[in-house]
Amino acid sequence: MQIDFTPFLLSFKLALITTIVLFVVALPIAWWLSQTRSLFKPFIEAIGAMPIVLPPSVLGFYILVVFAPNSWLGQMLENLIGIKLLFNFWGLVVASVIYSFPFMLQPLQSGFESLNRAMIEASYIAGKSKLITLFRVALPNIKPSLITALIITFAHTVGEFGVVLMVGGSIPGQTKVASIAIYEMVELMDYKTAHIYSAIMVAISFVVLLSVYIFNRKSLRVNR
Amino acid sequence: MIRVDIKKSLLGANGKFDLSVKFKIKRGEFVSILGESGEGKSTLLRVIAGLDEAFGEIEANGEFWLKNNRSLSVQKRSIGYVPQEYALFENMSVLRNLEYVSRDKTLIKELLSSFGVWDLRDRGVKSLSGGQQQRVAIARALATKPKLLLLDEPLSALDVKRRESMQKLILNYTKKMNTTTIMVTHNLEEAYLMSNRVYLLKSGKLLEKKRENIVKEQMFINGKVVDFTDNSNKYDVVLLVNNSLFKTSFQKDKFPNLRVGDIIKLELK
Repeated sequence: MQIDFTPFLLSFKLALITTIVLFVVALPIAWWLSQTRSLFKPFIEAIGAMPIVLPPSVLGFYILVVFAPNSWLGQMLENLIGIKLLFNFWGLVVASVIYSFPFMLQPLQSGFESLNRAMIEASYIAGKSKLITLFRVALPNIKPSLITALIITFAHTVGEFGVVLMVGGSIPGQTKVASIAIYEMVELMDYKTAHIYSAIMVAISFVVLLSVYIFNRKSLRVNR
Repeated sequence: MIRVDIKKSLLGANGKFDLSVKFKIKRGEFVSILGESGEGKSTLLRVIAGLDEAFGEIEANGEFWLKNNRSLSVQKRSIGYVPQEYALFENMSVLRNLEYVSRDKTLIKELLSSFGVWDLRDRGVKSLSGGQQQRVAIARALATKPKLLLLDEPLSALDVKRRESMQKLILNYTKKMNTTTIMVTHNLEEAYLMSNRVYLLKSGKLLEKKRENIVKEQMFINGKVVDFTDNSNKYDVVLLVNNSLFKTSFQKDKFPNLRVGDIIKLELK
C-alpha cells in the first residue's frame, strides 16, 4: 500500500514557518511585557491569550471576513502584492501565527519574568544595549522556557484543525495538512489509512513532547 | 568629582520616610556609608547607578546624570557596581563573565589571578561558593576600569583572612585606576580601614563622620544575659559576648530587675 506523505510534509512545513515567524514576532513582545510597568500590559496579555480561549471556528470566521477578496485588507493585499490569503498555503501561515501566538508568547514571557533582574541590570551597567542584553544574557538564561516555547508552538501548529479547515479548505499539496487528511479519510470511511495517519501523528507528538521534558529535566540538573 | 543631591520616598519597617541625601566626593576618594538595615543604603547606590528613580541632581565629572527628571541611561554612566546578590551572568563561565564586560585580556587575567579565582576561570558561576562569586563580582566590576565604583556589602561572604587581603586589593586597584568608590557596609572595621571619609545614613539623612570620630575613647562591649542565679546579695550570671559564653558576678543592687535576654554594656579597662 502506498502512503502519501504530502500532508505530513505540508504540516511540518507550515509548523516550521509558523514557529520561525512567531519567534521573531513574539520575542520582542514577551521581552517588553516582562520588563514594562505600563498600564496597557494586561490588555496586551489578554489579547495575546485570546486564541487559547476562543473556539477555532471563531478565529477562522474572522480571518475569513478580514482577508476575503472583497474586504478592505484582502483587496489591498491583492492590489499591492498580488497575494490572496484565503485557500492557499500563506493564508494558513497567517492563521497559524494568530492561532499559536500564545504558545510562543507565554513561555517566553514567564521565562523572562523569572530571570534574576540583577543580571539584566549588570549587563546594562557594563554598557550593553537592551538588544545585546536580550540575546547574550536573557535568552541563554531561559533555555528551558525557550525550548518549550519553540516546540510547543511547532507541535500545536501541527495539531491544528478547525482554523485550517475554515481558512485553507483541503487543497492537496497546498492546504491539505495531516489533520485535514485524517478527517477526510474518516469521512470516506477509509479507516485503514486514517489509522496509519493517526498512529504517525500520535508517535510524532509523543516523541516531540518527550524530548521537551527530557531536555528540561537535564537543564534543571545542570543548574542544580 | 561627584555631587549627589537627591530625594526619594521609601517604605521602611516603620512606614514611609524620605531619603534626602546631599554629598560631594572628590575624584579618587574612597567613601563608606554605614547604617542599619532598611535605612536606604542600597537604594542610594541604585539611584546613583541609575537603576532606581529619584528627584534631584547627580553630577559626575561635569556631566549631569540626573537633572530636572532627566536621567542619563545606565549604560552611559561608566560605573562598576557590585550588588549584594553579585548578579553574575549564570550562562557564562567565570572568564566569560569578565570578557563580556571588558576586552582587556591582560587586566582580566591579572584581576582573576590576584583575587584568587583564575584557576576557576572555566567553571560555571553557579557552581562557585558565595565567597568565590563575590570575588568574581568585584573583579568584574573593576575589569571595566570604572570612574565610579559602587560596592554594596562587597566582602560580607568572606572569612576574616580573605576579607583583609581583599580590602587591600580593592584599595590598590581603585588607587591605580583613580576610581572614586562608594561602599555600603555594616562593618565598622572595614569602613575605618578602607575609607577617606565615613558617612552614617540614619532616618533618611546622611551624616558625615570624621574617620577618627568612629573610634571611641572608651572601650565597651555588649553582653547578653543568657542565664543567672540569685546568690544572696549578688547574681551569678552567664553572659554571651562575641559568640562565647562567660561566667561572672554582679552586685544585685546595680541590676534590680535583671532578666534573661537583657543586654549589658561592659566597659573594658
